[in-house]
Amino acid sequence: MSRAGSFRVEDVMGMPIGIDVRDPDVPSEALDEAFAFLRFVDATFSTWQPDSEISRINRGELSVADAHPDVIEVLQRCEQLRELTEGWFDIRAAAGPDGVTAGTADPRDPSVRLPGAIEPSGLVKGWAVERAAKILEAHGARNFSVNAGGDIRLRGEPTPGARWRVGIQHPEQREAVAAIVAANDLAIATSGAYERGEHVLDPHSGEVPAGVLSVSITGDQLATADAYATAVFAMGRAGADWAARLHGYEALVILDDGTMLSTPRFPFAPPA
Amino acid sequence: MRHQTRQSVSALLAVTAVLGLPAANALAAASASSPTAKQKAATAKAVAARAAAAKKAAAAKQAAATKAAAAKKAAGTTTVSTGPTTYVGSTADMHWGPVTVTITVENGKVTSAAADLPLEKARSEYINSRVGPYLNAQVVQIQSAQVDLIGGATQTCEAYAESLQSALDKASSKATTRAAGA
Repeated sequence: MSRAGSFRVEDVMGMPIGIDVRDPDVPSEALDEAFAFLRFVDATFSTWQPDSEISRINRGELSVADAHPDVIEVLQRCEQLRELTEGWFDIRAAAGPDGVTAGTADPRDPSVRLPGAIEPSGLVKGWAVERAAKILEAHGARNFSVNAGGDIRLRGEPTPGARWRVGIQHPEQREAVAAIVAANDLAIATSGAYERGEHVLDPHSGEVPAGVLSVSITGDQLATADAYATAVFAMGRAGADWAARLHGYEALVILDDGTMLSTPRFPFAPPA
Repeated sequence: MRHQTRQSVSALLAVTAVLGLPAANALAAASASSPTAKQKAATAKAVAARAAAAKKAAAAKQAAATKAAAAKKAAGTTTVSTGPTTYVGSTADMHWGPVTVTITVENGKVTSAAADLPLEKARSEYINSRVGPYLNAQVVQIQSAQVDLIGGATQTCEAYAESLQSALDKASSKATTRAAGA
């Protein structure tokens, strides 16, 4: 019997997003619909696109109350996560001290920046991947992975009886794997200085966090894992202790001296 | 220091790939300049062009997928290949030009990997001489660790990662098909 399955990768939201469905009988419409949703998210939430709802909110042309229900949902969740992370995940701080440009011009030109702007991309990606996963499930998919620029949602089994194996890219040696995670149903998010330049800032000081190269968080929800990874990274060296107190989420922290710290239940693959 | 570190954590880790620094530096240099180019390109015009290109690419991908599905159907599931099979990753636009990763799979294992890199410029030649062999070593290493996908900082060298990830995924998908069909 043939296992059809299907794999597709597209450049959406400024990153390669790969969907790998291992179930034999899932229609291609499942992937069509999932990618169509991701493109909708890009058009609605991107701070690089001048006509996105977030850009219009940042320019004061649209009030949050009048925004798309998904925008309202995401911004509410951003606020919840800001509270959960004691202010370390902050979509206003993510926009930088001078705000974002809302897609209007060269972002390095300070004269066009929008103070007080929001940059929810750090949560949008994980939220969008979870929604895409639900679309796949609605079409009958039970065994699949979604990889959005290195942040991953796993579901079911890659092959009958097996667990998915995910290599976590080493933060300094870009072609090397720092650790391998093995799991069936899991979200894995990584935050680090190497993602698109050093864009994660300490929301309290506005500085680039010191001492940490990367933070990977695993758990049930990708959006939450992503926000925690951003927060723990922003905390610098103190982040590992904070991460150790999280419920239901495990952490792998790589410090700039090469030390790796992990919570006791971090789902490392057993040594071969 | 780096080596000491690696040894101290190796007990904890299932696999740590070992690679030379020149390749990492070449990639770092390439990726460091890409966000700037990306930001510059983020004008309304570019966005529109990107949307149009994405639409076109999606249509082409769809057509290719349909074609592949038809071919698969025609071929049936009776053919079980045990010889080497070559998979070509999608071409990705790198800092120095288009790059395509090709891997060869034999009995479910990657036996070789190669990056098709542009050779027009002397700079490219230098990068090719540095990057090619290291990439080759890495792909084999990842396969030997039996990784289904790569998480973490794939965004940094996104074009590279996309190509590598797509080649790996195609191979693993096909290998699974063969195993299940056999």
